[in-house]
Amino acid sequence: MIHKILRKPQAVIGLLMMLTVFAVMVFAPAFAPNDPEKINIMQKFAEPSEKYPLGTDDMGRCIASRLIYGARVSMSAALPTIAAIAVISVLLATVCAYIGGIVDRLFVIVSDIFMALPPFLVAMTLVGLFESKALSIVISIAAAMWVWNAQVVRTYVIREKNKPYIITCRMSGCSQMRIIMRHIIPNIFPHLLVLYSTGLSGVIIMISGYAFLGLGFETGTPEWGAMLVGANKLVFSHPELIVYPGLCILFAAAGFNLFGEALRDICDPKEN
Amino acid sequence: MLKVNELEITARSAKERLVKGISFEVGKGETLGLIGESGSGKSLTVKAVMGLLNRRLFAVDGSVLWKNEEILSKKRKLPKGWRGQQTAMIMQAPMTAFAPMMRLGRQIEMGFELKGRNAKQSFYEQLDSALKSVNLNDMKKILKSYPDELSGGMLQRVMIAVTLMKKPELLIADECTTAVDAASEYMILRQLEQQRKNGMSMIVITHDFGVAARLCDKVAVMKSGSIIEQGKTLDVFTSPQTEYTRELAAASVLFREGVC
Amino acid sequence: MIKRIFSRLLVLAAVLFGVTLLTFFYTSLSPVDAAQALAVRRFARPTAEQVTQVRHELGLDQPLAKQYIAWLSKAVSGDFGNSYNTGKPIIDELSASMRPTLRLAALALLFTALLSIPLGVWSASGKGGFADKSIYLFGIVCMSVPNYWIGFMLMLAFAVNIPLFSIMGADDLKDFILPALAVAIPTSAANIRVFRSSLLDGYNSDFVMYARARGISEIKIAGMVSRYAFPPLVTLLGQSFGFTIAGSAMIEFVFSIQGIGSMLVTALGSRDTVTINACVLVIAVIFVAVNFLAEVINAVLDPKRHTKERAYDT
Repeated sequence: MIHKILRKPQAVIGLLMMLTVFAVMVFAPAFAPNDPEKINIMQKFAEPSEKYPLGTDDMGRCIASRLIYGARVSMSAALPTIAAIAVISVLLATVCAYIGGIVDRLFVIVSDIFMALPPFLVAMTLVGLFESKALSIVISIAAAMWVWNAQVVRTYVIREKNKPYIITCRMSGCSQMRIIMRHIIPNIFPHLLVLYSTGLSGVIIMISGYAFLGLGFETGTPEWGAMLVGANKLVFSHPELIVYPGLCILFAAAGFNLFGEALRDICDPKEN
Repeated sequence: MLKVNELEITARSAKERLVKGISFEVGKGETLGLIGESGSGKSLTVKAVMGLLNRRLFAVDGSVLWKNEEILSKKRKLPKGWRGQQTAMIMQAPMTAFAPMMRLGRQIEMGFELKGRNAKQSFYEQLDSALKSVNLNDMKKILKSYPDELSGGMLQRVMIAVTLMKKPELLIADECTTAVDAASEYMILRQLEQQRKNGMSMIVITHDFGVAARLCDKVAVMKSGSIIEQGKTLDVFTSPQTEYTRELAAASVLFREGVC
Repeated sequence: MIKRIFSRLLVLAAVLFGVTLLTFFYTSLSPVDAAQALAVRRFARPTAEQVTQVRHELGLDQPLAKQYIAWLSKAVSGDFGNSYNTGKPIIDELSASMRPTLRLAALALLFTALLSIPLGVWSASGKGGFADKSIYLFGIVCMSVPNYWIGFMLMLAFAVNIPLFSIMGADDLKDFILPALAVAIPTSAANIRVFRSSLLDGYNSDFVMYARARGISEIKIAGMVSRYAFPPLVTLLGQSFGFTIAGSAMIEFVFSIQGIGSMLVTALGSRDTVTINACVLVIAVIFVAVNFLAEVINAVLDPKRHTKERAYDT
């Protein structure tokens, strides 16, 4: 499988972009030239210079540093969120789909109810409910998105469950747990990877949306979406303040999307 | 009538030659049997003859002459009514041959040009008798049904009835008895025999020697894209020239007793 | 058929019921005491008695279940009570802010359809070609950005150099072109992919081969394939309308539109629970209604649900 991935240019590019984002996230202090939160009103809207590679924003903060640390903020919110979504949806969907019968029916009905709500709505009403703002975001997005993912996982599990090799497994006496862990999950794993890497890019975008609205993050946090707050006034005077954060979001999300979609082409070669 | 010369079909993506320069002829009123195992290129060949192959996926070389007119020209100017009228095809998998989300009646009508109420009237009369001839007596019910409401055998019979209504000059039957119950198979074969008596030319694709023996004047045995043996049915069956043909015949007899 | 519609409607009613119940429950968990907040606004430094009085006025001293029933019965007739924030009837503000958001969503839907359908067809017919690949890559880029950022970019591109579109206000239909476009672009990217995939599946299926073998014209075949390929797209389009309304807040901020999204965000910020409940209810109803409409359309196109049920089924 790794071979196939490495042979596809799109996958490699996506992978490199992902790794770049991770690297920036982990080594932010090393990359950033300045303190991202240091306010210096005297220096606001400074031109790009040696000290401020991309200039400063309306509060005199170094834009480059904020963008770099932004990777950390966005990803440290996005990763736990997608992890939570993954765990919940895989657990629930696998168990319900595999057991089938009334449990599965119940699952479908409940998820139909949850899916009747636009996720943004659910997330917005939950944000701010909790003490810790970061936790709010993780929980609210996870609560909003898990259903949609769970439905997809359920489809995969059902498809896998009906394949002949699983039936033979059961006939030869394999326990349910063993079948799930040893056979079903490893075999749907590539599809899950596709789902969650494209899902991660969606989460990054959602988080930036909240930050843009002022929900969930402390003001002044160097988050890409947050950096766009109040940008209406700056659209024509300092457009670069809007372009840069967006480009960062684009880079991060596109990396995961490219990789995910390339992986999807590998797993589902129906393009005949 | 139909002359196929050095037909070559290559899959563009895999750069693999799937049909390697085969030649055969079907005269007027003659029935040719194409025998071979799955993957030998039989379906590809007839699809190429009918012009159904996607030229972007497959490169087709060679010549196909129908009444001395070249069919395979790059300009793809097929003679009027080539498909459906002069030639017609019956497919192997009847369940998927019809669009699942439309009623059968509507789909059947689509293949005919019906202008005016009189045309429609006579169409339905013809359809009724065609269906009755394959033992499908409730035309109204069939027309109203969706494909998944009928059995494979019934759908196959509908296909045959509708196809024969147009009185094609060349009929191609692609494994039309393979996926079908015994009773339907009987009716289908009976219909085909009738058409043979009426002078229709046919190409019958099958892996069943019994069917071939019953219907075909001559057979061509295909393996891996080439014709390894051709000739009059009786000759090929009684004295097969190649090992492969012998094995095929033996395997077929194992399944079906009573080859005539 | 009628029976199915009826039972489906019942399910949807139950869903809406559940939605409102959930929201009511969540907002009642709010740490801010609405009675206290309102009392402060009214009396500046309220005594305990005054707070209790306000609480009684608002009916907040009743058990939760009673509150819910009271609210629901009034809401059904359009009386959502008064905002804790402004003190004015919510229904007025609600109807005022619904108009711009609905116009935005409708226009966005139109643009999405106008973008998805032709580009999907173009991609599928030229499969593997330059157009297909370019649309694919451009689509991934468009899916990797928030729609409000596209809004900013559009602003920069058009409103500065070509004063064709205004960038503020919500009076004219003209004002909605840029925001609707910003919303439509990312949505179309995903739709194009799905539509292209359905079209390819349709054209590669046996029934098309058999229809061609029968000599049916390409035009009629295109009609058949459309009926096969449209349902997933219809579902997505219906969903996207609801998503647009629900997530309208961000694009409204960019273009200074006073829509329901902004109203909801403001209410969230000030913990105006009554307004929150009202907005959520309205948005949920619209979402459910439009999805239902999409289902009905699909039932006509594909009565047997033989084509892909869910858009994400590969």
